[in-house]
Amino acid sequence: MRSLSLLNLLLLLLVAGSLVGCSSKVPPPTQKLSLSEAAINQAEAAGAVEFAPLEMRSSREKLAQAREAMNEEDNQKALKLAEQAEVDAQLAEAKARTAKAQKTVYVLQESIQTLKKEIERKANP
Amino acid sequence: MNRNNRYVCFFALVVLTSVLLAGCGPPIKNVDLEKAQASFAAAKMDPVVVNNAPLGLQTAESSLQTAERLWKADAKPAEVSHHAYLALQRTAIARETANQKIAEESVEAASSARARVLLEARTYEADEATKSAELARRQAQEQSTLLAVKTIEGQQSAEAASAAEARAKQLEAEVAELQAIKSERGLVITLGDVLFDTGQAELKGSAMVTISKIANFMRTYPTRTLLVEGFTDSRGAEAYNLDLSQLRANAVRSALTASGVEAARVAVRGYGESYPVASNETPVGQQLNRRVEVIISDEEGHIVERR
Repeated sequence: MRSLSLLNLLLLLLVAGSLVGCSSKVPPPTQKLSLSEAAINQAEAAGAVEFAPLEMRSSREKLAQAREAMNEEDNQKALKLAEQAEVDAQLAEAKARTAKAQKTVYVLQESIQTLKKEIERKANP
Repeated sequence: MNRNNRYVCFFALVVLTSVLLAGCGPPIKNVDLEKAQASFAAAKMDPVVVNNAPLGLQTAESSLQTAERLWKADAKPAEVSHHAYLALQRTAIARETANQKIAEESVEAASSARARVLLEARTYEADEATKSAELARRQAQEQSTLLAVKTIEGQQSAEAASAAEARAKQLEAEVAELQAIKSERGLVITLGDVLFDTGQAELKGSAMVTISKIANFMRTYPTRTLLVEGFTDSRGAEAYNLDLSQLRANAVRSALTASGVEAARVAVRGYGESYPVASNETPVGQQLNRRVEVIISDEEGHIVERR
């Protein structure tokens, strides 16, 4: 009898556990949303609007959707969207920085060429 | 509870557990996860990413492992896809980070290359400036040297010219003083017959004025020499005339040496009746032929002898 009740308890726990796994209570991801927003601002400061417009748009859309989800108290969804918005913004920032550095290299090389030509012209007028 | 009930309960437990475990069994493919796995594998194989973005790659890997764990645990596909997406994006971020690092290195290399070229250009310009300054300086120096030389030359030649002019003027004055006549053989001073007594070889005192003038001239021009030539008219014996002419020339030489002219500078010739300067038919002509000529040499002491 005693072992039976123990078994029943185990059964109950298992059922409850499986249910909890399906729809756990998630607190509103306010902090994650702020992090995503900060990442977007940082990306914009790095020039991502110009150099990585696709990632930026995706990031902003996801942030907006995350806010919406949070308002609808779908915190799980809100958290995921905020996480995705953050990586999108980070990718946009990295792309912008790379593009800017590459542009700088190009400009520098152009200027080197110009200088060299100028020297040549002076040396052999 | 009876024994049967107990079995039922145990059975239910086994079924529930197996249902739970079955979820972890062979999961269905997740496209997003596969995409993330492929992307990450490629990045992991890329030495550029591995060397330049190890941290980013690590972050991506842990996201991917989360996704894989969820997938193996048969979690909701949306859950797996979410983490797969995070892994995919983080892999991309790692790749971009690596690219950024390389680009920044290129920026640095290009900056230093530009600085080098700039330095080269400046050095070249400076060299050129130095060279042209040096050239200008040298030209100016040459110019001024040339000018100085020309000035000195000009002064010298002017001085020389004026000195020569002065000398020539002096000479002319002195020649005029001597009452000498310029001839092909040099300056000729004729001492007339009136300075000697007839048939005598002694010079009269009145001749001494001319003699001392010649002596003065010889002192002034120490390189010049004298040739004293005596002549007679054609009256009288030829041998006597020759002697007389010689004696008179000697007398002039003696007077000159007495006045300070070195004997070595005075040559003497007696020509007798030869080389008349006028007709011996008339008394005037005869008088002109009776003479002593003193010839002053050129500056080198040369006198052309009579032939």
